[in-house]
Amino acid sequence: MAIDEKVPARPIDFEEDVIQRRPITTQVGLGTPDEVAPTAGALANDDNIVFTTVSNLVAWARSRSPWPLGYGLACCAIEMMAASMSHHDTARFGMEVFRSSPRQADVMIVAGTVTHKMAPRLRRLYEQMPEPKWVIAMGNCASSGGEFWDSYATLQGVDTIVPVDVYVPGCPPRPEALIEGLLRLREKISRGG
Amino acid sequence: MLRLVLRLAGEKIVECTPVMGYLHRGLEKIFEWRTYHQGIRYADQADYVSNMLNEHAYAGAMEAIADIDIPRRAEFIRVIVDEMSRCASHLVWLGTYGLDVGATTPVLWCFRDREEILDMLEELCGSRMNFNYYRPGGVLYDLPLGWVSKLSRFLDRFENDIQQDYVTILDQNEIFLERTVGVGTIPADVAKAYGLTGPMLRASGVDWDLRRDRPYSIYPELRSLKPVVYAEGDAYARYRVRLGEMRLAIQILRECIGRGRDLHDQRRPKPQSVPREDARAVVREPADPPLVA
Ligand code: SF4
Repeated sequence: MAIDEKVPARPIDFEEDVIQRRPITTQVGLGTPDEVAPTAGALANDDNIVFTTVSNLVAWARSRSPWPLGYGLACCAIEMMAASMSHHDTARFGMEVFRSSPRQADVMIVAGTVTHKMAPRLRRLYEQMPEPKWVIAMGNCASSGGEFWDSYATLQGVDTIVPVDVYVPGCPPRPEALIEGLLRLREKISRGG
Repeated sequence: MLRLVLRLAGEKIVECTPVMGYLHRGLEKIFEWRTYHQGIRYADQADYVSNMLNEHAYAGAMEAIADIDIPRRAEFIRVIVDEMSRCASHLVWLGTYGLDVGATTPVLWCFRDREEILDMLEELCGSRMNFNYYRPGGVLYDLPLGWVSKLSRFLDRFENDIQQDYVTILDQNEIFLERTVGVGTIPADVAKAYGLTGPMLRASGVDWDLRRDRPYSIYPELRSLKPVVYAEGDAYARYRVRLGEMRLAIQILRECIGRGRDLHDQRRPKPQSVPREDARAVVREPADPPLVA
């Protein structure tokens, strides 16, 4: 490469550039102390020195443990509970700390049917959450009205009153599906979304 | 989803006003607009923790209207899935109740056992919740091969779990006793006046169990069906009733497995045409909803 050619700029992807390239020994449970990563690349050497921007670092840190607001409304709430319990265990992803107060929560998982009576409360709780905040619509009811599409009492999709980041379809979605949704949200957050 | 407006005197609740309607989804109206078969799926959501029992009530109403008789094998299968659903429901209750009085461990164990029940039900009908399994005159699928032995293995383990885990950690737990014994006592007459049902009623000493007192399906034939009744009427008695009902469900399931095993009744119910004018009787039909309170 000629000396005056510019190196193509690429935003740092933490998953790929940092996590994947750091020495294997620092990944818990993998490899033995003698094994080190092949070549650590330009971004991380064996001393784990990383160059990045503050905003990237913040986004990465945020993405690792979004705390959900425990907002179970109907059937889907039971699957949300199941997702956080021993078998499916969202604690693996740092997302099991269900908060009872919107002021301590990062992501609102709307799990269940939102009725017209509940809608103003939902909006209010959303507004009480501190920025940055995200919303997951769990289940068909929260996503689009689901099988209560012609009911006189329910909201046809929670995105009519709050902005939704991730839709998890299903009636109810399996806990695995909710975890998938949470991981998608994590991707979105680490991209700064 | 229930909102309770409380008035407190120190730590004591002296007044409690429930505010209803946060989960009013207009099911009654929806039932009117759907066909009979579509309604099964909505019956699931009336009480989404014990879905199979709701389906049983709904299917019972359909069968009463159209005068459909049910093959005996299907009746056994129905009781089996009902009792499994009841266990799953009580496990959710036990776990969340533990959480509410400050015990975090039981909920993890309860969901461990519940997952196994749900796995088996999923094998049966393809869904973990909201099963859509009942049909007028029977059920959707027969039991898969090897399912019954899986169930009986689970029952042994589950019985052991109840004794080893839940009883050990809660029954004589001083904090748990402190927070439940003598708390929220409901005398029998108040319970009746308020129209309480299920475990709530039986924990107040009222010996009333729809499975025995307004018999349906094959419950009258079951020798192991002995309702669990406690007279104290407090929160601890309600806990004991539910624990007892899980043990009872295990006995019932064992009996059903034992007696239903040789039933190869593949007879199909005769197709019936349903009288149109009765369509609105469905939800009123007292086909016995053994809902868990
Ligand atoms: S999507 Fe299905 S399971 Fe979830 S709340 Fe709605 S009806 Fe219940």
